[in-house]
Amino acid sequence: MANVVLDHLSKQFGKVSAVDNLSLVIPDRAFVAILGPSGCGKTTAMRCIAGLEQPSSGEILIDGHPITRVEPQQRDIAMVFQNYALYPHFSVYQNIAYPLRKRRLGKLEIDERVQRVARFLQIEQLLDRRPKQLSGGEQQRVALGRAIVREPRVFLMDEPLSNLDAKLRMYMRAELKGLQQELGVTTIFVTHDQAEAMTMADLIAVMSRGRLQQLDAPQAIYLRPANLFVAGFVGSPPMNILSGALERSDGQVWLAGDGYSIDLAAWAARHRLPADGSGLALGVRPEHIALNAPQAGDALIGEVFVSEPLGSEVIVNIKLGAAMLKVRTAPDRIPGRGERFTVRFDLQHLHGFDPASGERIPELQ
Amino acid sequence: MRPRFGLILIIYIAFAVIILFFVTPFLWLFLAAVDPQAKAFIHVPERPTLENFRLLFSDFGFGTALGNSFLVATSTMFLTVVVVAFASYTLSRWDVRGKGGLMYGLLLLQTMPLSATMVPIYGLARTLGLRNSYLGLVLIHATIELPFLIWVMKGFFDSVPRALEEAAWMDGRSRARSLLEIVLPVAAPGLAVVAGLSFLAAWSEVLLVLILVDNENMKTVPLKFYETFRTQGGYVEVRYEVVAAMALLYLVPVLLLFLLTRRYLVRGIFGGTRGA
Repeated sequence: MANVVLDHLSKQFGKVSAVDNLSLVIPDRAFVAILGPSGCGKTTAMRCIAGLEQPSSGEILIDGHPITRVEPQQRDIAMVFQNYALYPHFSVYQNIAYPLRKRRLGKLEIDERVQRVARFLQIEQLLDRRPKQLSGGEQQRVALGRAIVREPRVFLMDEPLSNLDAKLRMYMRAELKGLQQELGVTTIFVTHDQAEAMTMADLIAVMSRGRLQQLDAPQAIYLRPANLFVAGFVGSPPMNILSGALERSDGQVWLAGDGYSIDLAAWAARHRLPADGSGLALGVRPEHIALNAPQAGDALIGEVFVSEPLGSEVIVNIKLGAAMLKVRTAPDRIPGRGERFTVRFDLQHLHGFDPASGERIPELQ
Repeated sequence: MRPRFGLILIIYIAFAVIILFFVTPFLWLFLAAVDPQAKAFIHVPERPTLENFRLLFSDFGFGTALGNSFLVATSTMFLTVVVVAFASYTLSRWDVRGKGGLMYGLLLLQTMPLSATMVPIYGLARTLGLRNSYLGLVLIHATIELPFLIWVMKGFFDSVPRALEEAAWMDGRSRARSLLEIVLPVAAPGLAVVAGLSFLAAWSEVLLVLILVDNENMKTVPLKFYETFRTQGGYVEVRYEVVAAMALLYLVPVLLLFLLTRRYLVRGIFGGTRGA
């Protein structure tokens, strides 16, 4: 029902810059995650959209109308708080009805809408209870109910799943995603959990130190991280980064690291390489490395440090020279410490980064 | 290891002595109040009677004093609660310039002994025509109580999550409305403590009443009380039975208030008071 635009938004607290020149276009009906570590400015950005913080500079627009100087009461935005912020002295029913009581709605209409939302969220049997008498998951549903009952233009959710236990969190991820698709309301949620962002969002905005690092679909963020920060933050286990010098001779290209050197000829042909002698940070996901039985003449041979079996897969930590790689392998065999394997990289899925700027090395068109 | 029997016995005896020490005055009160010939020591009356209570109202004008005390104490309570609610909320939520200094200033005011400011208060009251006036008593009692109660109440407001208020803003309420509908009800235990403490303070205050009131019709219970056991240099004999009866009636509202708010009082005095 509404698109949201952040136009060069900045927010300073004293000398600390919490949000730095953030520009985002959030399309109508999109489910957008703002993802980043704690202190990256994601919550501040959300509070600016809500109107709970006044940005130091920049503009926020909903459907093209600037709302930066509009009071939070007038923005028609609903927010689910991290601790749910249910009114403790009201019943569940009163909590959900509270946003409606402000508008000139009849008692019957209010009752009808509260009941409908309660049915939708399956909390009808809780309407007479006080928030204190509810479990965490139930409280969250009530908080959601209070937000959706108004049918607002935009939903904001601040770490909506962080107060739930792990099992319930997995369950609510799918619930929230389904809910958002059903309601079709533009939704922005803030999270530090990359799995949450990956599973729920249509679009992820990755933030670090107040700055936007990348805005893209989850899959694109995973497959083509824009810089070293995104590469390291998204994915579990994170992307392996191998640093070394770029060396060329006779049409050959090598990454010379500490105790290993990797043939990059095929990869280099498709990328705009930096100048000779500069460094390179090579990123490769754990699932894009293969471990084979070593044969005579193999160049890259690593030694297993530990294996982490996870049931459906095994994460093998293997030493390659001075570097430690995490490799995702099938669970049919758990390699023991000291075993030796030939390490093979999937050349289609290598990521090059400029170690100085952290930026991704672009592909040749 | 279980402590030995002898040790337990000693502890119990010690407790008994301490309890006896504190209970004795009350025992005297109850006995003397129904004894027509009460003395300054404990004496079990031969024929208990309620005559002393009747005397209070007929000969000592205790009804008027009781009414005065109620009027002054409840008015002080209402005035204090309103002022404290707004002052503490502001100090808890808004970035007032020099807030730390302000909070310590309040604490400093609280530590000043009242007797030191008695003379200027008297002068002020006389200039402003606030002697022998209910308004004067209420204003001065409220002023004395405010610093401490603002501290207490700020602690309560600090413990109300900001997110509750912000949720109310997002739900379409103005700052004032969210204060009234959300913050104040959630902080109600604190307001109960403030109400209780300010009532008690005004109810028991005697020094200021003594210097500000000499009109017989405006005297409050503590002043009446004080005058009853004053011997005026030995010219008057102390009517212990009347003093005791007065004291009993004087204690009733205090006990009631304590029973009603004791749960919150503990939190308010020991738990809710957090600094600036």
